[in-house]
Amino acid sequence: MECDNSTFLIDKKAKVIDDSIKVPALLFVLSSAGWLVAGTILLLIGSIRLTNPGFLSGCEYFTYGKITDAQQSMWAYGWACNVVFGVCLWVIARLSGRKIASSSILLVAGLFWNLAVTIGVVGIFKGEYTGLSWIAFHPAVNTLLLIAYAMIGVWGIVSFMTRTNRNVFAAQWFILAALLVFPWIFSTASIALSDKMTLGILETVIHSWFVHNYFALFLTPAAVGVAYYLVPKFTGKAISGYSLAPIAFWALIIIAPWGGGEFLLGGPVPMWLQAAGQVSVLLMVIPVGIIVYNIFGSLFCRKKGVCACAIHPFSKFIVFGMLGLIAYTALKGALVFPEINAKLHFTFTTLASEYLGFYAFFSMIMFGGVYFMLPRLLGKDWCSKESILMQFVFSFTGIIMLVFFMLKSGCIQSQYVGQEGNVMQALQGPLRGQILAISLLLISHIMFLGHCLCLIASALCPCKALCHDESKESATVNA
Amino acid sequence: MKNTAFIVFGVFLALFLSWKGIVSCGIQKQFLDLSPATSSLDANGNNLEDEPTFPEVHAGLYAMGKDVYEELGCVSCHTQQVRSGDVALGLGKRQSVARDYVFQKNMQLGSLRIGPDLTNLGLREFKVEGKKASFEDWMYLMLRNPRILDSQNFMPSYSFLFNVKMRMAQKSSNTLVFPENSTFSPDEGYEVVPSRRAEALVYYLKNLKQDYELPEMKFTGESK
Repeated sequence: MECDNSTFLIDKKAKVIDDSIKVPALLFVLSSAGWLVAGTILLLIGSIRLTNPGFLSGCEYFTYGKITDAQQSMWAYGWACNVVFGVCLWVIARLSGRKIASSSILLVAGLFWNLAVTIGVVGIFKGEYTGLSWIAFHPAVNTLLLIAYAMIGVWGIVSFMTRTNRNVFAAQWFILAALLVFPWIFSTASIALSDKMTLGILETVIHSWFVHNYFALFLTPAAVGVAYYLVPKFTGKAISGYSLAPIAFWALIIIAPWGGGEFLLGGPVPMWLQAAGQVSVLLMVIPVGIIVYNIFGSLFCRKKGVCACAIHPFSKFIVFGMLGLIAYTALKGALVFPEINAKLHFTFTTLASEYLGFYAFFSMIMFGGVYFMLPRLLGKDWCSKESILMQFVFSFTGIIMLVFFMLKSGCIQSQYVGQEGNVMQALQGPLRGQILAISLLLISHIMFLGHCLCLIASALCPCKALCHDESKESATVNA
Repeated sequence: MKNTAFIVFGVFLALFLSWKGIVSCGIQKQFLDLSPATSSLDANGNNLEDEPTFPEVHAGLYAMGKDVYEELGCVSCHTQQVRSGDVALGLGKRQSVARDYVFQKNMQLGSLRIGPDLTNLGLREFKVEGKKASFEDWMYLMLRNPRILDSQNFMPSYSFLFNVKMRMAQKSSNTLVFPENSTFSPDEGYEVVPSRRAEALVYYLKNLKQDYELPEMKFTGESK
């Protein structure tokens, strides 16, 4: 493919910003893709273990519990956090019209972050972990992560505070909120959980408070922010119904923190906590409804008679991500009703809702964000749009199948409540389906990593240095 | 929405209020005085004298066994909580309440039942080859390899918790008793003995039981 730089060099100011964040963003994107692939491999091993318990079972490092916790941590801190750092910092710098002041600190902090995640994962395999889902790392590793985060997240906040653009966009509030919420909930939860006096139910409540907020106030606003940034770029028009966006933002910020009790329904916790969780989950319909209305209202513009989402190749990631958000909110909402919860609470259905939120919603939008960002950073377009379409199809099919088979497993499990000892036999069919679905996801993620590597390699390749140098020149001239 | 301080302050306030409301003013305050209690209280709401308080305090081998349980990640597949609806299904004699967990650090409450609930594991009866077996005999075989007891069982084996060693003239006291003609039996002249960690784990599992009444929660059903 020809080197088509013209589309990416229109705005000289944007080029300066892009160059300031280029190297750290590449590190974040590459490491996030690497963790995603590694986590998916573990997910595959774990799901094979469920149908073939002999697989790898003689080895203490690979018990099922360790595999699932390591996989979850790789996805939560390896993939999700890295990709948020890469994409969201770039979006907020671009919208604020401010370059990242010290990309070398950002780069070093990024290396530290990934080092800490590696230590944490090794710790899990060695048995040094908390066993709490989504915050499984040893408390010492959490400290390392927080130190690294302080040097990463700060650049997003600094570029927002010193912004030169007079306008402030919805994408900025959401991303700023995500960047502020993560250190708050992560430090509070890890300090409180490692306290020796945190015993019994208190520990469980803090844990569920963290997990709920990690999803609702870190992953959700980060992905929503990226969607609010990308959609106007795709359609060339402002977000429709934009005046509602502040309501969505504040509704999310006010309603979401009160959740957490929904994970403990029927458990040994007070009723008021469970009720607060139920109400919070159901009220999420308000912010989610507005967000979906904004995004879909802009993408499916009826005026021209053409669906705007068909115009840009990457807008399908946003469309599917938003459908994922709707499905996530709906399934989570359904699960808080006591009759349904009593049957489905401890089954794969709960996992299905997590995958809808984490993957179908968050990860899909982030794929779109990375595909949009990298060509602009490197000044080089993707070689093969068809290959990206293939990756979308694999992810799309994989996650739909995975959720379908998890829901099916959940329905079978609900018939065996109280006699779980016999359920695995009946679950073998859907569990094999899950293996197939996860294999599709693995192919998709390897393709994603491959795409990023290919683009970076082709941008750095000396034979095509001409385009690269030109872009650098223009950047220095305008610096 | 152009004021940075407004957004930052709003986000922090929302989180702070939820932390205050749920954790420090909610759960911490409500359970501030939660401590072991006798099954019923006197007129003043104090513990009865000369009666045992629950939950019991375990130490030593129990704590070591819990460490092993945590390390292996058993919580990924097994819960340790009986919900109100679970009582009718025979998972326990009563619902679990906050007081049951008052001493626990790193609670293994669990959120997924790929395997059975273990709250009252210590109360269950076990059979090897149709004959009643002691908890230890059954559980050692289960951990060594669940297929010894049931060829259709999907639990992973934890064979690394056991040592295979040459049999001396006198059998070890804790040697595993395999069913007759089991294909999993060790070779002639060898025996399988649990490691210290397996012993601790089985001791911990044997003590998983909520077979006592608490002032706030009486028995409402029968456990299977």
